[in-house]
Amino acid sequence: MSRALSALLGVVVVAWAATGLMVVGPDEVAVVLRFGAVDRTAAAGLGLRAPWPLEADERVLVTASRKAEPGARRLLTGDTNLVDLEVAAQYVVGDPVAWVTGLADPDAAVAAEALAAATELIAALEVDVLLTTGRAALEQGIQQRAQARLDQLGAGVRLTSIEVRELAPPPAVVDAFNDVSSARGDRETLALSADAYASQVVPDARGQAARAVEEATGAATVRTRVAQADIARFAGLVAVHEHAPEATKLELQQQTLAGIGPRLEVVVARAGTEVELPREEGR
Amino acid sequence: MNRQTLLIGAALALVLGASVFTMDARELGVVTRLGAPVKTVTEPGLNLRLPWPVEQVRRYDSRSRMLSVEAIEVLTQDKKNLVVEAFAVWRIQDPLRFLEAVGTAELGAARLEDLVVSRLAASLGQVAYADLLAVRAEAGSLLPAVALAQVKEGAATRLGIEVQELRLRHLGLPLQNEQSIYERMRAERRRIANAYRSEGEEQAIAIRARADREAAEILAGADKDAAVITARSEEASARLYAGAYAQDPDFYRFLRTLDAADTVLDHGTVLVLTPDHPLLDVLTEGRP
Repeated sequence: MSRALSALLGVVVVAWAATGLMVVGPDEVAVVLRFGAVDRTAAAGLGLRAPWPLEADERVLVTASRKAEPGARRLLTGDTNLVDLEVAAQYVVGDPVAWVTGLADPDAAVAAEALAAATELIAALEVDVLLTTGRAALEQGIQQRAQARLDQLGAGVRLTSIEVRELAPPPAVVDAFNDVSSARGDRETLALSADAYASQVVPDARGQAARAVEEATGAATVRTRVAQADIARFAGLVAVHEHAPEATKLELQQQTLAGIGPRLEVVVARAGTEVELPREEGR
Repeated sequence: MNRQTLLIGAALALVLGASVFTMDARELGVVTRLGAPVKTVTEPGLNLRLPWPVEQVRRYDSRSRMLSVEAIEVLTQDKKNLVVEAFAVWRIQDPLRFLEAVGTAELGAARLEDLVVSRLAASLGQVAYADLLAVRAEAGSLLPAVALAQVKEGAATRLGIEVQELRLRHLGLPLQNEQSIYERMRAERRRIANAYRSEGEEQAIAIRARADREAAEILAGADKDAAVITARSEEASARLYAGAYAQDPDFYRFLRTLDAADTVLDHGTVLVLTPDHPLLDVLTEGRP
């Protein structure tokens, strides 16, 4: 009876001690509490702690990406415009001990800090800056501010990214904003079509200019050649003329008249009579 | 005897077990003796007390908690309506005072919310709208520092609560005020769009004018060059003819006259001659 009792007692003691075995998953860290106070952390793998109630452990998923979503808001900008904003924060556990002991509801804190940082940043920016270049800067600014404040609170949280899901003028005025972008496009289009005009007009003028110079040069060459030819002919005739002046003149005169004769319409009429001129043919 | 010591031992162990309690890292406690608080326990670990029912432990969560203030309408110093949402991060700092003042966490949160809302409205009522937007936002907090200081002080002395943070998480307008902002936004957008379009037209006109001027300059330059070329060649040929003239002016004149006649009397010219004109035979030689 006493032997059976001690055997039973032994089994109970072993079973109790076995509750001190910890199998910590690959994505986990175990925070070990001794009599309720944080004593140490244990990484993934098989670990040992003293059995309950001496020690207990709290498992924290450290690799899991968590998401805080504060919801959409219509916020005032620095120049008293309104913009619709929706942000989401992604985060992981940065410090398992702080995660366990710091905040009762870390998710609510991340959401509130992200939204507060966005509200503050937007209240400092003008709507044009915000909508054109501000998105990336806004995400970065939110992350920096919110991270610093969460660290201050000892939340044990590390923000991995802030996503600005919506950043737009309210639906009631969105057409007015779209018109500004299309006006910006119009400005480019007007300038581009003027550039196209310029790139046609100037080369055209160059072409015309080159042609005018070429034509003048050609005409000049012809003129010079004609003069040279005339002079050459004259030089030849002068020599002949010196030798026999009257005969040369007569001969030249006859040649010219013979050349002209066939081209002319000759009408014979006595002095003082009316003449009917031939009709022009096909002119 | 053996049996007696066992009994005494067991009784001692029981009493000891009932006297020892652990305080978790996430807890704060107050030990009460017959209902009256005797000490606070703020450090986690093993602690002693008299066994139940003489002494009891009231436990509170020591972690920081969020207090969300949902949308409330406030008036700025210059009487502009704003809608704000805020949040506070708080934790129990003095469990004894907390126990005496409110007792439960729910009640504590409700009392803190009253305090936060009243301080929020009061401090925003001392800030001008324009300052709130531009100046405060750059300073890193939309709330005047005095708001946090007052809430901190009130919560610590009256509730045993430490307020770690107090911040606006939304700054907007009441629905009925949005419409006037939209109208202003529209007008502003229209102005910007018009400015873009006028700028575009201005640029286009300038570009076209510059192109036209360039083209005109190029053409004028070419005309000048062509005129110079023409003038040079005319001068050169005139010099040639002048040289020929100097050789034998009479004969030259004679030849040029013949050339001129050849050129002037072109095809279809009508010549009226008297029947006895000496040219008649020459010109009609070989005709019927």
